[in-house]
Amino acid sequence: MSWGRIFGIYTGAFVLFTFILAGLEYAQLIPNRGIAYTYLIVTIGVYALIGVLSRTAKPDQYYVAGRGVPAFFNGMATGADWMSAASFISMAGALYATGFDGLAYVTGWTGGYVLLAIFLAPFLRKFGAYTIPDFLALRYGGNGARVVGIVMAIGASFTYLIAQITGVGIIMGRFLGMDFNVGAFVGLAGILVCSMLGGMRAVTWTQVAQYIILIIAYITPVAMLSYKHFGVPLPEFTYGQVLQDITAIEKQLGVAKLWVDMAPGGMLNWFALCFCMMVGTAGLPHILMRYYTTPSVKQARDSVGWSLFFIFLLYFTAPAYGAFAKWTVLKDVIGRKVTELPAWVNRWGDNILGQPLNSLGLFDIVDKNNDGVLQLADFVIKSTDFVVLATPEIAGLPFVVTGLVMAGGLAAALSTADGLLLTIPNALSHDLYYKIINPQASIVKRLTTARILLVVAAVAGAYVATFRINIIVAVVAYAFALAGSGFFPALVMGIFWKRANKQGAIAGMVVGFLTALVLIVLGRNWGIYVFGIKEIGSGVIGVPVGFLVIWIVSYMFPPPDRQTQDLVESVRYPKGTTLRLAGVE
Amino acid sequence: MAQPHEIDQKTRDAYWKETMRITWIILVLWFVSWVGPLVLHNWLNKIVLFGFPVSFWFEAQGSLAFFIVLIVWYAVHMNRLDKKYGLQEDQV
Repeated sequence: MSWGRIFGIYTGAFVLFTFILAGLEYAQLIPNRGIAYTYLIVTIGVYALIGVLSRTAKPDQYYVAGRGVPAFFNGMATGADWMSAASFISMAGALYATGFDGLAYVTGWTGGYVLLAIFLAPFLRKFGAYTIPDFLALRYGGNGARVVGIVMAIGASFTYLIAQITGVGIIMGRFLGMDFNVGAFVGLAGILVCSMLGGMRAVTWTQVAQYIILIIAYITPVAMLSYKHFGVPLPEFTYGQVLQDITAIEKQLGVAKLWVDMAPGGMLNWFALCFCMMVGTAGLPHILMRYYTTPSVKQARDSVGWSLFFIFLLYFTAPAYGAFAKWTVLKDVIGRKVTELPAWVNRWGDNILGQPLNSLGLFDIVDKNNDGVLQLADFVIKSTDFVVLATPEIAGLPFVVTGLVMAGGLAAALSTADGLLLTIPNALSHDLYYKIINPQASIVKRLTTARILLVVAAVAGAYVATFRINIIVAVVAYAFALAGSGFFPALVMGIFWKRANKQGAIAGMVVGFLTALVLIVLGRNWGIYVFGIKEIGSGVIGVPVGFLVIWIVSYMFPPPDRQTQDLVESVRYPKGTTLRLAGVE
Repeated sequence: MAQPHEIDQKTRDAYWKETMRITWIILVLWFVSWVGPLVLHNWLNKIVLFGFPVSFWFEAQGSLAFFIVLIVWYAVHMNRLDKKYGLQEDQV
């Protein structure tokens, strides 16, 4: 049976399953918590099943899925790998809060794929290594570049991983009333079953399954909301109407900065943030790694297109989410009498007019001046996550859709965690253990090491997540500046400039990374902004610095040897093999 | 199996030159597509089409769709280029 057929049936079965649950809810045969638990058990069960069926003992299957993933499915898997808990749950909320200014994330987290397509993906595939540090080591020679690559890959991936586990814990808490620590470890168990036995092969097919669930879950509620108001279930097109209404209401209320407009003087930082997210996207190892898994260079090129298409489906819906939520609040809450509040505020609110309803609530409603009418300031947001989470109820949909959103958020967090959790142990087992410490290690020994390290990384990630360190969420945003400034210049120069040598690359990676790091520390701790650029966009300085340092330092040292130059040459053309030239195979 | 150095240098140089050309074209279009609507924000956002202020629409949806077009264009063009120069990969 073809993969297309299998996943077609899978999608049908999932939709049918949702309708059955809806029927049970309608007949009042199942309580809300029962629905949430059914979703949790069934989806994690499916992921685990795929993980077990895909178990493997071959290194090329474990590390790069046997390089047999068709472009279309690699695109879906990359989509799930890429879209994290933050994209699924928090991005629409950020748009709600900031309007145009938040769009830097929407454009930034998609535009990076153009850079990936023209500078990296096809060439990395042609190169045919297992990991990103592998590429750096073979291109620049010696273990110096490899070690710098290992440290940066693990640093970026580990903070990102903690954020995903935190996301899983929060979702479990909100929907199932589970204790955060228990939720984090349950999610962790799910991730481990997926990735431990089958490595990249298992993770790839699990991510395809997770993508299907997350995209259905994301689009359904807002599509129904659009249908309710405009008779067309295409919120991406109907929200123009909503934008006009928002502007009209805001003008009436006398709001200074309109939702659709940029904050005054915000252009430079908008640019910096967007640029940073783009280059960061093209520098994150868990995404780059995915393009090693396609069968050919041609398919790697096609696959970037599919990746962005599947990511696009979610990202071009997100602004509609933000707009519909903004509209609903402006129309149904603000300016209303306290006696005529809509029902959805009771489920997602914390303290509604003095009544504590839900300690995990996402906003408060207070009548500050006691006039019986709600003003803008009376709607106090504690977490803008309410935008995605409350939309099913705003649209008047049954609880089963809320359960679906939970399953989608979980799929988004788990699929990203899967990918990250492979990057860390692979960097350690393949690059550090096999390539540096023990090159004579047998295949069995290498894969066993990889699996043990996977468990260690997972448990360490979950353990750190239980501390609930607030800085983690911010650090994830910084990971883009750091990965972009550290990796991107060395990778691109390695392919496009034969003259780039070991000294230049190592210096460029270290200095680029440190530049971004210093700017982040300066901005975060002391509010010192170089050129007025906020720390989150520091990659806009770090990336050019990285390129410049590689260029200057490379010229200070002799050019790379003939063999390395041949290697670069061979990476540029799809024909022929590459690794044989590098003396590996 | 054919190694790239078995193909003459002239062919390889011509291929790489064309590759660099499309790379630059796409890089410039990519940059303009998201920086343009940003720089012209104050002016473009006053124009409203189908309810959407134009600058907002580009950064929310328009540029994103254009990114896909760019990537597909690059893939189609490069796959054609491989064939033209006989540099497509060996069949496995």
